[in-house]
Amino acid sequence: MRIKISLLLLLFSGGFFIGCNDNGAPTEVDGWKPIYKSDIADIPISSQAPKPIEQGGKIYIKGNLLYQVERNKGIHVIDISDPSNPQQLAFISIGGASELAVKEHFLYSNNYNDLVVVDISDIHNARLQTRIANTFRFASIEVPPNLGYFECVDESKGDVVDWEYTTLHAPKCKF
Amino acid sequence: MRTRSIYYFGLIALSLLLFVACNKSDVGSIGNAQSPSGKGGSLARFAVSGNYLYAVDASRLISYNIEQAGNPQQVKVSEVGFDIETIFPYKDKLFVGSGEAMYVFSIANPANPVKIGMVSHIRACDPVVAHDSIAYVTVRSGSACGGSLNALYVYDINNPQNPIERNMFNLVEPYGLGWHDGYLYVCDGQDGLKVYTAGTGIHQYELTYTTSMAGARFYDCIPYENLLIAMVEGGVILYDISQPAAPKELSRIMN
Repeated sequence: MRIKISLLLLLFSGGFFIGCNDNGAPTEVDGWKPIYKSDIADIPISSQAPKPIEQGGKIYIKGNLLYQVERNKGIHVIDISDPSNPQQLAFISIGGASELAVKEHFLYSNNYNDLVVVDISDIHNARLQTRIANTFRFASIEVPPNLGYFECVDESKGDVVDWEYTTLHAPKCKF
Repeated sequence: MRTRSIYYFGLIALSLLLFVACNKSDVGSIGNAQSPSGKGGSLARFAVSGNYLYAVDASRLISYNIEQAGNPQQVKVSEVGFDIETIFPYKDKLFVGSGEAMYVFSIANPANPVKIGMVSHIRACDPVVAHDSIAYVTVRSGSACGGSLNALYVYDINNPQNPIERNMFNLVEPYGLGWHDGYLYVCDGQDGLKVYTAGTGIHQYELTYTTSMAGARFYDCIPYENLLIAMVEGGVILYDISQPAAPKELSRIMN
């Protein structure tokens, strides 16, 4: 956690202090709300039935299979051998997923800051092969992805894993 | 201070690992027709090249030997800079995009990526694709990326130690991009997926706007043989690009 606080953030913090002063923030305004790691259920890595794409993320193609990240939740697997009629095959649940790549029958993704290697030789029965814990320090999650009001981070709630754009009530922080 | 010493200890441990790795003759290659890996988009933070997986987090490039695909071995951690966002492998190079620069790494020795060049630009987000001796970089402002410019830059990378800006085109809100057979596909967010024809010969740094796809907010695309796979808000759109200048929508995967 300490390590993640870069010099740049220290520079930014000047801005936060200004933002955190009670300088007439609106009682209700759209802005960013932190999502804590503890907010997201710790689902085991496994194959599930195909799911609707809600917050589709990065894509990767190998052979006839297209993979798309569902932000923070896992990876959709889609058969595009007939590209006019693609078929969703399965959903592989991986909490905190944002990245992906494939070599042979192994899928590389991230379970938050862990590198996970998932054996997908049977796409309907994916299983965790290897995990390298805490290998990544992903983007400055301490700040919201966009400018504007945001709900201040409560460190006692643990690591922030994402931000949600929603209606805030009298937010005290501004970026 | 304690974390710092752990950090240095880690670096020493890694350099030992790296020393071992470097002694092993290894010829990872990209562009292998029998490639056991696939293809990602320009917004990717993971790239597989030969027997190596390269990953960028907020500040570092981390290299893993994946000769045994199910058992990655971390071989190197390189500090790169702030706000690292994307990695694009091309031949024996890795192009790393950050909030303020594009970095070029040589992976001539794939276990030991070495930073050989960089070019700074105004502060913005910037995925990169490369083809031959040209790198195309989009910069997007209006978010945490900062900056105020939305544009596509064309860099001459004949000398990767010193990329030279050759051209610049204004865009609306560009995200990812892809290269296919003389055409550049640029995902300009709400303003559509734009197709540019690349110049040749003395006009190689020119791009001619050809057409654009609408009906979605475009984030990234992967040209894949005759298919263009576009990541859009809410899912994916597949296009037939057997005529690269005139993509034809085949299907949408969205709910």
